Amino acid sequence: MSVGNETVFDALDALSRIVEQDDVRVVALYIEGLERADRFLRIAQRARSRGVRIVVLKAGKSVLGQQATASHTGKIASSHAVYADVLRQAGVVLLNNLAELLSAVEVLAFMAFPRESGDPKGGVSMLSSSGGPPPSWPIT
Amino acid sequence: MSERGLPFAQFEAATAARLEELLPDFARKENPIDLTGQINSVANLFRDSCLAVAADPRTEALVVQHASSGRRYVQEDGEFYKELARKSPVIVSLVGEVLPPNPKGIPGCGGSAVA
Repeated sequence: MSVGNETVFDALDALSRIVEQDDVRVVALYIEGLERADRFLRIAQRARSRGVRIVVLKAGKSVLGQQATASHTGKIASSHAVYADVLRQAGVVLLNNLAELLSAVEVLAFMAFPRESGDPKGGVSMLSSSGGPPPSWPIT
Repeated sequence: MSERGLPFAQFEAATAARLEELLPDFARKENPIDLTGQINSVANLFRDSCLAVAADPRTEALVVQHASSGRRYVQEDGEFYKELARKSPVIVSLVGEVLPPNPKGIPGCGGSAVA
């Protein structure tokens, strides 16, 4: 769905409702900017508690992109690094382009969360068809 | 435990016994596992080993690294990985090859894909 210029109904209004739906596992957001980071973080926390993943493609990563965004919706795009940090803290996946966004949606629509074994000997298991890479992985 | 703090599963006895059955003597059967080049001559070696490891309650996520034959195997095994990933995350890494754009059933089209 598109929320246009967000005059009376913004992307977070939509997101807050969508993450409550039982038939939603992943939400993809294309945004040019966010007015209220605190509000977004609360929604992201709620989404995590419900097992809903949020992936974001944000415009304005480059200086040119920030100028284009300003002329489109009038949003003054903050430093991409600020968004990246805030989104990471919120457990949101930030993607770099549309192809990545679509791949993330496809994968997260069916992929499970990591299992919690509750066992101190639990963790990641690796398999390889070659003896070269595996010993190097644990230190990379 | 990796230097970046990623914990590695220590397989349960049943898993270790199953891997002993499946893999040749010269394979490394502890985590991370080296399946060896026998994957090219023993049918289902990759799949059976993945199933054995995924069934271990200590496995919280799976990482599968395909070497130079990766493209062929990943395209054959795409649906298998997707089924595994419904129960726990499966990350597939390809070394030395680039997938063609939009390979059927395989998300991602760069040097690595996540199933």
